[in-house]
Amino acid sequence: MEKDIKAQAQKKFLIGIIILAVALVIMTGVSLLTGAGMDMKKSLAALLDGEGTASVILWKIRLPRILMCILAGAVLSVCGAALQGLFKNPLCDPHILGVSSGAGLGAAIAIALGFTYSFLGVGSITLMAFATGILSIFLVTALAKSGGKVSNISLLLSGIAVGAFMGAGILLVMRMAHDKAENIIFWTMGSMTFASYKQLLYTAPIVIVTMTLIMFHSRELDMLSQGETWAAEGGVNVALTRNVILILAAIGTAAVVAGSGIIGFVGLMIPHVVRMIFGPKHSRLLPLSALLGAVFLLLMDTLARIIIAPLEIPVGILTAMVGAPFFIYILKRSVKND
Amino acid sequence: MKRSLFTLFVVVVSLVILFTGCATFSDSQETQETEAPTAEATATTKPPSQDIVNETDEKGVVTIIDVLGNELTLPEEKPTKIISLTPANTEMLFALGLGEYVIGVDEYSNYPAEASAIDKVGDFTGPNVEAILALEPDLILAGNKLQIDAVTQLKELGLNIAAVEATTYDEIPASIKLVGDLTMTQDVAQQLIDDMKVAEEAIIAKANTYEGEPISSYYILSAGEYGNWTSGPGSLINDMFELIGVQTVTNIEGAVPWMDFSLETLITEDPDILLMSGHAFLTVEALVAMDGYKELTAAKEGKVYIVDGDITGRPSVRIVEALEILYNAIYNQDN
Repeated sequence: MEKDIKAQAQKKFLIGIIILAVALVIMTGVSLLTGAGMDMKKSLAALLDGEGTASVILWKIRLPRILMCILAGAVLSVCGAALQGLFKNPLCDPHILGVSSGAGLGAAIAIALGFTYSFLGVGSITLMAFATGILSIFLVTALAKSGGKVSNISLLLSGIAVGAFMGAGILLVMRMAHDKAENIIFWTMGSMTFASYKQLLYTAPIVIVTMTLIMFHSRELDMLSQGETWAAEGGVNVALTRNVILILAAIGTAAVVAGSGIIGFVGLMIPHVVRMIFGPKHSRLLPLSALLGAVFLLLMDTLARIIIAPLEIPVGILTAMVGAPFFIYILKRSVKND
Repeated sequence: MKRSLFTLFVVVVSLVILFTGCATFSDSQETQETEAPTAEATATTKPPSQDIVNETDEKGVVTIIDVLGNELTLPEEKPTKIISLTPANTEMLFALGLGEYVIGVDEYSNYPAEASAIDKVGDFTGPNVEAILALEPDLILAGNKLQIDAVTQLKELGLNIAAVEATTYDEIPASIKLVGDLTMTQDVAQQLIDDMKVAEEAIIAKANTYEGEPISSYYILSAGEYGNWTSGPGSLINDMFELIGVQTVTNIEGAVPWMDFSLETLITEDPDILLMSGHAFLTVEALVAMDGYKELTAAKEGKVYIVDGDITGRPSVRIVEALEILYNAIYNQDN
């Protein structure tokens, strides 16, 4: 009997993976053919036999942006799922630990001081954003420590406090460097428009490695989401696992924020949607979240490109505006079914 | 299970449909939004340009109307404690010879050089009401629609405040005239306006002698990780380009005066020349190496020029200088 349920869950998981993978492929195709610069017919012609401007738009503007969306959507969702499991808190998302505001502050300082160096082709502002994003997670854990121990609630609270502090720091930098305020605002509003192969070259490895490593901790996350004592009895090194997950989530999130700005709601919503349909087991939850997150963000970014063309809207606006009602619908439905 | 997957699918599809539906909706709304302010701007700014004869009531009090449509009475004495809330206003005041009476300016007022030394009463977050009150000004010159809240607030506090800044190129002479009226320097103002007209006509005449292929351009306010912000129809920049016979590639349907522009549309339009504001925080070398931008013909041919964003962006007396700068960048590339 139990075996049956397990087999059924496994079957459901496989079907889910296949459906989402197909959806991702279709969405990639649709996205490649959609945009402000060329209509679908022209894009299709360029896809089949493209040269000149048309192929530049297709392969140098649209494709890197699509890949960046897939990576960002996937990693934000995986980080969100892992953090929700780790903290047993449904309101966790990758931005809750102060990483995003930390990255924003780093970028603001780099812009204000006029840094112009680059390292391996990565601009100083991106580097600085990435570094301060990671740094903030260490600050959060250090602040949360009391008597050598770190409790979940103090981690969350110090994450929120550090986030607020860093956010205020951004405003302070803008006020002091008032001639650069405009640039800082533009940067923080940044979206997927900056995506390029150069950016993918460093984002992709970071994102793929952090996602894979988080997925390796599925069993530990399952046990931790049952309770720390329970996990410890089951042979999980609670403190170590928590630190590893935190740092991985920080790295993954910082890589995305440094390149594309803050994209809210994906990391919060996607894991919940997956959990409602496929259950809370992390070995299924994490890969499915990655796929659904990728499909969702790609869909939103495609809309962001065309809704008010030739103007761009930051994709974060859409993820929240579309995500929130969708999320509430799913939530209500699942409550009714219970 | 199948049911829930199906529902998921249905929801996703209906969202797509909803949003493609909304796309047309928000499109039309956007155009409306862009049209509305322009209409409003002309409506509210018409009065100052038409009121060459200011309205005089029975008691002989002359009223003038500022760019926000507020009524003001003409001063009986020359104001001597003036505050300017925008860099353009500061430039106008100095050009009218009133520099010594300016007691407060915003953070961005940096021209002429003396302006930087004056007390600061506002920054990018807006005017600082307390600092303004402390200076006890007898006249405050605000910007336009962007500062409407500050104007209302300062007016309620009983201060003599006027919104005088032009939004489009054509409104600039009226804006200078308005400042002249408010500071009792009508003659100097008229002289400035006349001189500007002469200089402007000379540049336009030069531009009219150009007989080559029409030139198209694109103005870079920011690029790359700062977003691709640019000027659109109804902006000062596009107005000036039009005057000197240059087509701006952003003059297309759906565009607004200032916007984060679609990079692929820019590549499709492929302008002949790129002009970049000095505020863009980028060197020409960095721009032409940037993904997307490096595909542009102008970048490949090295037709990228940096212009002083302070001069080209402020609706004030130096706008003719801006016109000259744009003219030189476009037509005198080989010099």
